[in-house]
Amino acid sequence: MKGLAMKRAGILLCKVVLFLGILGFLFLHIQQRLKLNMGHRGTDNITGFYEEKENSVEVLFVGASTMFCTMDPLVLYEDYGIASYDFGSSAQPFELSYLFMQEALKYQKPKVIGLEVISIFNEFDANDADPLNYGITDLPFSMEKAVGLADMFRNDKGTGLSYLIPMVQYKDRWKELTREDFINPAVNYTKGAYTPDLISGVPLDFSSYYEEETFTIPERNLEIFQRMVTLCEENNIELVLFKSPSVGWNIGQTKAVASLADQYGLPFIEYYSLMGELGIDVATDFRDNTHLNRYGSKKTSDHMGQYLTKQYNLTDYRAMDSENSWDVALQKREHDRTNEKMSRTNSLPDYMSIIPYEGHTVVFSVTGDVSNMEEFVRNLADAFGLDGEKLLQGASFAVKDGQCISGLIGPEDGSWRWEQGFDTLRLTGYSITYNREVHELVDDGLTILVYDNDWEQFVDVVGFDAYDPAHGVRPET
Amino acid sequence: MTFTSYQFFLFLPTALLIYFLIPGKLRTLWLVMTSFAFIWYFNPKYLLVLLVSAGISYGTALILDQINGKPDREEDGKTAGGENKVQIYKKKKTVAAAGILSVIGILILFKYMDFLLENINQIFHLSGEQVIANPFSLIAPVGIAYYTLQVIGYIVDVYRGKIRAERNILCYLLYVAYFPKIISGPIERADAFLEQTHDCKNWKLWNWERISAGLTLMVWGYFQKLVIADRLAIFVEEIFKNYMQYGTIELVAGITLFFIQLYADFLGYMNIAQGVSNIMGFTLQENFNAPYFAKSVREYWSRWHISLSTWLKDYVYIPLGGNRKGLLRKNSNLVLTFLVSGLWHGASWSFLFWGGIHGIYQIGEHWLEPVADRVNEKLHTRTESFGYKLMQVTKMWVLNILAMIFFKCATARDAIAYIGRIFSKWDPWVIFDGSLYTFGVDEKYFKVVVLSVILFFIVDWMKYKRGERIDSWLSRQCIWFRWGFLMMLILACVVFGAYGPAYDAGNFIYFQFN
Repeated sequence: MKGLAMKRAGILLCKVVLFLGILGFLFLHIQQRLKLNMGHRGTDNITGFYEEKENSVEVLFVGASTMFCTMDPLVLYEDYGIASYDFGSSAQPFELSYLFMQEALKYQKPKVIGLEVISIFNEFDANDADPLNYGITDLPFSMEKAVGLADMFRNDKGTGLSYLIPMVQYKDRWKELTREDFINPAVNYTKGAYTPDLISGVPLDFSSYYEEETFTIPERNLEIFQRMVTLCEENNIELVLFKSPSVGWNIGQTKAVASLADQYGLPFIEYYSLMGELGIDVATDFRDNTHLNRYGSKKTSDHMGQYLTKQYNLTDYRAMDSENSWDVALQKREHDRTNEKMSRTNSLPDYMSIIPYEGHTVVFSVTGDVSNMEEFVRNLADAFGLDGEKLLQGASFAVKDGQCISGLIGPEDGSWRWEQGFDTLRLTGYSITYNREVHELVDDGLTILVYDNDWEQFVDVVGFDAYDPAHGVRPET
Repeated sequence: MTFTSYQFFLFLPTALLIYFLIPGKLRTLWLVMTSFAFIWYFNPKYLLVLLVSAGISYGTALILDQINGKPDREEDGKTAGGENKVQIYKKKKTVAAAGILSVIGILILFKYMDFLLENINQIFHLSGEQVIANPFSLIAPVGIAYYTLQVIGYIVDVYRGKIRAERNILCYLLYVAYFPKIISGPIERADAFLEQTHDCKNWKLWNWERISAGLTLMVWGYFQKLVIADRLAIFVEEIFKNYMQYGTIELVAGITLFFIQLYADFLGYMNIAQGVSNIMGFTLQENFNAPYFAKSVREYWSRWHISLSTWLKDYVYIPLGGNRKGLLRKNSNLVLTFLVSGLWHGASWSFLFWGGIHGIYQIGEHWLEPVADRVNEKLHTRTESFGYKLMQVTKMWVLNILAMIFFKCATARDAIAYIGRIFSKWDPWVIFDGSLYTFGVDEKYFKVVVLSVILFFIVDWMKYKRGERIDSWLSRQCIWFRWGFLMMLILACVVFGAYGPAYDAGNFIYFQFN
């Protein structure tokens, strides 16, 4: 009897576990779909971090956007062989930086942590939802996260709970789910950095830097800082403080952080004071008042690379035999730079000269009256062994790795479809459809769509009017 | 701490875990402690008020029991104490009345004082006298309207000799304070509930069928509350808050959706309470029996808030004379009982109007029923047809919804203005131009709510036709369907439920009638 009862209890327990397992799986899957993708503000570098091989990162940078717009791990790798990652989120509260450190150390054993200190002067604001969402949403559930949030939201545990379970924050998003929400490219090929090729409209004015002579770090942040120092000491990690140059930061803050760094015997690199030495140009090296752009971050990253290699015994990962994820990231960067160049080219002859056929699928669609560019169209057809007359009447075709793969699709020929990964291209005699988005950019002329096969990503779509081929037209974004 | 607050999701598993682990003889004590903690969380003072009411009723019943226990000596018409039957009767009556008036006094003090003084002031003001201020201005403690009725019922039952007074103070405190029912009932009868408080020490708690049924009921309750009631509440509140800006269609939609919201809300609460109780081995009485499928207002009242309706019948209507003293007394008793019901729901004239209207409905139905029967006979109406039944149910809905305007509006004046606008601001275009989706519930959520309401009424239809509750029906299904259905409900609550930082934690509507 007892054995039977035990057996029944065992079956029951299995059922309960199975039920909760299925429910948990469904819950997590739905939650993953509903979460808002914060892009470079959080999702990209947080989810990317967990894709990194365990114990492969030697230098970890932590902090807000000023961190990941200032330190470019690809520059550090390319020029100094340092394997680093920017693990942060936009407007990251200082308390959250500590949680990020704790989280990172579960997967990585960095020798150095670089902490960007812009948020050390900000008091934690439980009602400032955006920075919290950027940083918390994509951190996986863990005890550290639960304890950290309970500590952060000690005065409002209900709100803290809503951050612990992102579903609570994003459940209304079911109404706006799109295809992109079901495809989450987790690998971050910039290693967490966000260094776009954008230049601020006007030169930055740093005149307010000397306005405030004294500044106080909030008590709570001092306590958090102490915890950070202890955490680093316990894990034999060197902590390096740095501050990117940004308008609004002032000498009082610099002094306060420098004093704190002195107190703990930590290095503090303040890049405002190094701007002259590093040649950072207020007119060309910033994206906006707070963030460096690609050119500015190259300079600060170079400086950091020199500093780190000089101060610490770091491994030169470039010398390793096997290819690592930073090598792959560099290849991706090269690819992206080429693609970027295409999306900025507006003249048809220039565009044709830079189309990278290798590793790409290129679609051409001729529509309407193209008598004004007849010679060009005939040459285009000849280049791929197609019927120039038919193309002049209006037709589309696709080229993969330099070879036409579709034949000419005229208005009478129905449609042609091509798929790669989650992406779909559909051609008719008069239009190109990429993932259900129809591109009919010009009435009379040529539309070109370029797709990167190697990285499975859309590169560009541009229309050239037959009467104005020097000014390509792109869809409004 | 309401059933939808995160605190409850911490409180309940803790309370249950310990309840399941402790020895049987400690269960009552533990439930009393958890119930007190539950009330304490709202406000420690509320617990004090509850203890006073419980103490008065407990003591009153003991005295009544003592009087009841005195043996009659038929020979000389005197008891051992030298009192005759009339004296005993008078004494009993005095004690019972003192106990009942004391607990009613507490209820009035907390719930009706403002209303009473407001009306007295109104009268004085009209005659130019000085206005009286409420010296207390107290907030009604959680559950006071419910447990007051319970303790009155208990005193009366002991007075009538229907039950013996409860001597075990823990059992009695659990009867009064039991946390799953403290917020919104059901108003339990002493005999049925007290028996369970004694028996619980012997219950075999690890009964999976019962626990599973309890969990199913809870999930279904949360679905009704979060997905239907609280979502509709967003629409309804907007309409009622700014009703002077809206026309016929919005106002009719507002009150109709409130009618559905109210049921989903109250039944949702009840299912959660029943589910929690089921897990612990307790059985709470059924408070609803598919009332929205009733074909008359009278039938509706036999299916809606059954614990209150039967309480009013047993402790107000019948003591007033019921239907035993002629048609006029019967009708006046009926109206009076419904006025009490209205007043119990809230201290305002609008609730009194609502109660009064329902009383009049009942009288009207009684008078018109023979007329309708004769007309149907003459016209050879197929009264068994679906169409006729649907028409009857629709009539019940229309009458109820009309009265419900008084129930929902803050004042009777508002209710009259609301009805006035329904009949004077005809705006059919809002059905077509998407205006109805601009009151906080957009088109996509509307579709979710409509589907959920359909499911809600399918389940209720099963109850109406077969008397079967969802937990019982689901337990007969295969495991995969059962699991799929439950997971669908849970995930629907999580994804479509109205909760989280963007929402005001919606209290259960019947919670406000404390």
